[in-house]
Amino acid sequence: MKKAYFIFPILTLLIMWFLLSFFKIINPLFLPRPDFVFIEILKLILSGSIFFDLFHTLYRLFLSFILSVLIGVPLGLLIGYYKKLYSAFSFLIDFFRSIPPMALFPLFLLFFGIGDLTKIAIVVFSCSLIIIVNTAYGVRIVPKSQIILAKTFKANKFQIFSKIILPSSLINLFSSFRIIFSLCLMMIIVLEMFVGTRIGLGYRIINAQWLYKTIELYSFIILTGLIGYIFNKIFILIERRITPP
Amino acid sequence: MIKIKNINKTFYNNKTKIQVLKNITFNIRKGEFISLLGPNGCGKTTFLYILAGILKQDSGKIFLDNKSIGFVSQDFSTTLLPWKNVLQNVAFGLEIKGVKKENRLKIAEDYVKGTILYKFKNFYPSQLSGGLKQLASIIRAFIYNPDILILDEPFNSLDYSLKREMELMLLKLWKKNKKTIIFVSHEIDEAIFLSDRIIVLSKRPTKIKSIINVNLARPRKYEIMVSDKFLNIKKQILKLFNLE
Repeated sequence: MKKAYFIFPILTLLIMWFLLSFFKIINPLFLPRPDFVFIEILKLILSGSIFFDLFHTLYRLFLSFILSVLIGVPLGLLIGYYKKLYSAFSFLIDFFRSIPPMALFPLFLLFFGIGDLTKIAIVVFSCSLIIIVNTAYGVRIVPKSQIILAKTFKANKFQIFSKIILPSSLINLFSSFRIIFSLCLMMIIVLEMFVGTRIGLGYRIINAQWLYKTIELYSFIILTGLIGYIFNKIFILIERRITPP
Repeated sequence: MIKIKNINKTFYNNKTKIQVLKNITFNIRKGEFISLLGPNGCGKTTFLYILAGILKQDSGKIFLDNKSIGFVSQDFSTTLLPWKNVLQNVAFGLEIKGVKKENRLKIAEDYVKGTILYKFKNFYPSQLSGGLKQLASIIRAFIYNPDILILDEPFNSLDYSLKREMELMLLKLWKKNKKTIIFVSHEIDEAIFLSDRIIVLSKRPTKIKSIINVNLARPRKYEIMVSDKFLNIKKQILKLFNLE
């Protein structure tokens, strides 16, 4: 029965929420009743009106995540493998990585306009840098003894790379994918709140706030949280599958 | 026969110069079980790396006659690849050689059969005890079928009885596969029990102090560890150590 424990904090939270809103201890404009919010969520799902926004958010999310991986992993492997490249580029990478992504928004807007391209470019820019650093680190911490082992078997450079360095660093990397994916979701949602977006969960959240539709606001926040939670779980499942015990 | 002639090696660390090996010269006969016995940090591993071609000596020559070398390192906890199970790990040398997957796994299974490792053949390294891990890395070296097998303090972190068990297992594998074994140790009993000859090394800079013949009958059993012959050899080595 250990598993059932997780239900109590959730119930407590819901009951507190209900009491605070039902007795109007907090202005219902700021905190609507949870039952109203859940009915709204059901309505959004059953009417299908959420799916259009959901689809667009997920499309941006996956496109930017996949692009970040496709750019970040090969570059990270390269930089991690060649020490000279690492020392040549480490300052630039660290510098660009230190710029808060949202600070780039006006600049990217200038270059790429108000469409999806700007959002995806910002996320890819920031996340691929993080992936580069993580991948390069994964390459550099491959145990020396494993490389020596391959050398005693007379492995050539390509074999050492493909049979030791690559799998070893990818296993380390995969756990960071989960965190990077959440980061992508976070950035996409915020970027959807900025000018020029008419579709997407982030837009629906900010729109609900502008119109003081608080019930809708809470519904979208909870739905967004659920999506993040579900993908996190999916990543953990995949991770368990592909990484050794 | 393997000939090792006048090997010298010095490491430079900023300004300090550490001479590790000094004029190491000896021969190894085919099929021999030879031990290098010396204190910690005397450069045994450095010598082995030079022998295996992982490091280069400053001067001196090694005549191997194109013989292939297998290596079992002392830190077995990291040399087993964590993403491969026991069979895949054991077959890793064959994988590098380019042996096809089904074939190499079959060979691996044949080698593992009859050892305590068989029950764990599908386990991953993190699920194995230290002894099993080391057994896996020893079998991995044997399966590669090298002419010469180098074992660098392989039983270091095992407890007393497991160490003895592994020694017997090693002797069994040695007898069956007829390899030349170069075994490195800092334990006198272990070296005497296993070897045909023992090369006693000094502290850094490492020189050969003496080469001792171990004329004990084979197959060896543990009773010989308390025999007069055994104890005499032990005395001889202890004396060498005390002279320092």
